[in-house]
Amino acid sequence: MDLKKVIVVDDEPDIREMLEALFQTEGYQVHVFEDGETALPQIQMAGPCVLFFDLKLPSMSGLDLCREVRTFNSIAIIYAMTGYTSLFELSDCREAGFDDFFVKPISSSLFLRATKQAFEKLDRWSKKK
Amino acid sequence: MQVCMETEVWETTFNAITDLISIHDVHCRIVRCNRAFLAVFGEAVEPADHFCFRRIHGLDAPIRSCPHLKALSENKPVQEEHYEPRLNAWFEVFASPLYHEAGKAVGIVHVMRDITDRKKAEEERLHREKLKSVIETAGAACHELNQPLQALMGFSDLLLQNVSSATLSAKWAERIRSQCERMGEITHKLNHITHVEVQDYLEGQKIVDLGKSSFGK
Repeated sequence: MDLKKVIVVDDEPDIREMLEALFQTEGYQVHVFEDGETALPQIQMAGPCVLFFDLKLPSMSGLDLCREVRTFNSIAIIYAMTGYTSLFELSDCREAGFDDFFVKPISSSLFLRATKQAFEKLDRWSKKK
Repeated sequence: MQVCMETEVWETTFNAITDLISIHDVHCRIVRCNRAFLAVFGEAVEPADHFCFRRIHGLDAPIRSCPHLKALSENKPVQEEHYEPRLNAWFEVFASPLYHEAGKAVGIVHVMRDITDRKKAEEERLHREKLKSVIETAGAACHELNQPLQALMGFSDLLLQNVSSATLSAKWAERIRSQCERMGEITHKLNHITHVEVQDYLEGQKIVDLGKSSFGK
């Protein structure tokens, strides 16, 4: 895979800026969005990529955004980020189509490790085609 | 004959009641009681056992909030909830003055109803409400704190990547990073509160003991 694209959707500007800088430093192509509505058209055009969605987003929640993305993209690796977890919420995450979830604060090394593994997985899938 | 039958019916009725009923004179002496009372407090063995404070509470003098004395002094029925440590039971106590034909109080009717199960249910309900409230507050605090904490942790990682490792700036950035981790452990505990245990704070205040109240690390 030539282009390693990471898409982040989080309504916290500082978190967007921080993740943009972190992923850029590691050579990923990063797109950050503050809400699901703005992000959706870009995700539709993105193809295989790694996505990080905050669960609590204005209007369209991270869960709804993930469900929507899964209707047209089954291969993307989608991670949930949340500041607070309940067992109920986590079972919803699985149902919505998230591949995994992380509870904030998430260390930079964990972000990068998860992203690296996600792209390795995407690579394996693309080679099987 | 008629009087005899009426007395018998009255006694049967008195004994059929599951509340603990006793009739006391003005000097706190039990002059009569029903079967339920006897089942709990037994027969009087010594002369002192005739006093209600001795028989009911095992004391040598009336309790401070004695409903018997209160009913007599206020000259009206009183109702109180009372915990009896000897029985580990809660009672709702009704004390109603008994009047002489001339209108003078000559004693009281003392009724004790065991409300231990109701009290336990109330305590459990209050505990559940308290726990729910603590979990909701902790959840809100956890969510709100983790947002700035995420940014702080990430930026301190970026800072560490951009300063030479031997500098004071690197040392201080490392300090910020480790404090972020410490705060992360606290919010993790907030996220995993399962019950409420408190610890002493300043001047008799109590606060939730996060370490003992959560299964977080």
